[in-house]
Amino acid sequence: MGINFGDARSFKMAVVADYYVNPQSYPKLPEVNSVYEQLSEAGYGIIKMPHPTMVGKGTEGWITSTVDQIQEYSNRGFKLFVLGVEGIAGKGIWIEALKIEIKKRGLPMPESIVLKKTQLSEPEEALKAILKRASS
Amino acid sequence: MFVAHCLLNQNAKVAEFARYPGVVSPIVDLARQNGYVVEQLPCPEILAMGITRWWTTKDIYDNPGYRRHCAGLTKFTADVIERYIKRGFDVRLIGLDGSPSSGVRFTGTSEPIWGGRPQATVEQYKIVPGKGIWIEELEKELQRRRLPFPKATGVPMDDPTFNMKKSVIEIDKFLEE
Repeated sequence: MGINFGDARSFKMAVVADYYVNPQSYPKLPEVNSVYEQLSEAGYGIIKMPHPTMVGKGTEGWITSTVDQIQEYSNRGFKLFVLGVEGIAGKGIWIEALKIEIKKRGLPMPESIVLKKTQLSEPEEALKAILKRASS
Repeated sequence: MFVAHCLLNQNAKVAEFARYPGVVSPIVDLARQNGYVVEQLPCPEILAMGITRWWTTKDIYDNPGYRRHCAGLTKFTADVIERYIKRGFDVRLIGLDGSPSSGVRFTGTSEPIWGGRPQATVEQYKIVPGKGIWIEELEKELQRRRLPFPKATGVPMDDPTFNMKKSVIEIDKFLEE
């Protein structure tokens, strides 16, 4: 199906909360987590949502463009999952708004995982299962 | 640090141009290790033409419709840049040099100019000084808001002669400036 891309891409991606790339911006959550490293090492592309308090009036633009990507990649057979974090409004990914936009377009919701605060210091186990499932 | 979309997601690249599976870790890791917050710019190409788009040059993208599309994306992107600037962050940008959209120091054209019936070789793609269409539109939006354009550079991953070692040294220097 589709075209021959003929390059190094993995066809795998995660839509993630800003926290996972920039944990230093979140004093109430663990200062370090290995999610970025794990995704990066597993060859996942990252579609990162912005920092929740830095978006202002622009939320709708980020939601629309993120769902545009989910729709386009899914239509072309790329694998994609959504990764939020407990303890931030909207799980750091505006999860309700994403769901509404996805439903409005009649698309299936990608697999979505929200890591709990207790999983953040050692997310390896939770992520291992997810990464395995998402790439199968 | 605002980075070109594809530095975190190589799946967005036009066919044959992804050099890494997902994250371009030598560059992104460097920014993180230097204490930079990493924000990801949108990719105007995938959002307009999708993932199976043809190879294209700045000349082809330089039309009112594509510029309007990019200008639309600059609104919510500049909102985020503006907040970081107003909160006193040292805001910088790493684009994708050689890209017709996300180039900062270099963009791409062709000789002769591509267009019409698809027929292209990688040798026809010429890297020339200048910004890509998306970066030009982002600069206009920041000017409109009377905000400074961030200190910026690019990783020349769309240049066929790209060398990551050389680029890491350049970016390392840029981060320390």
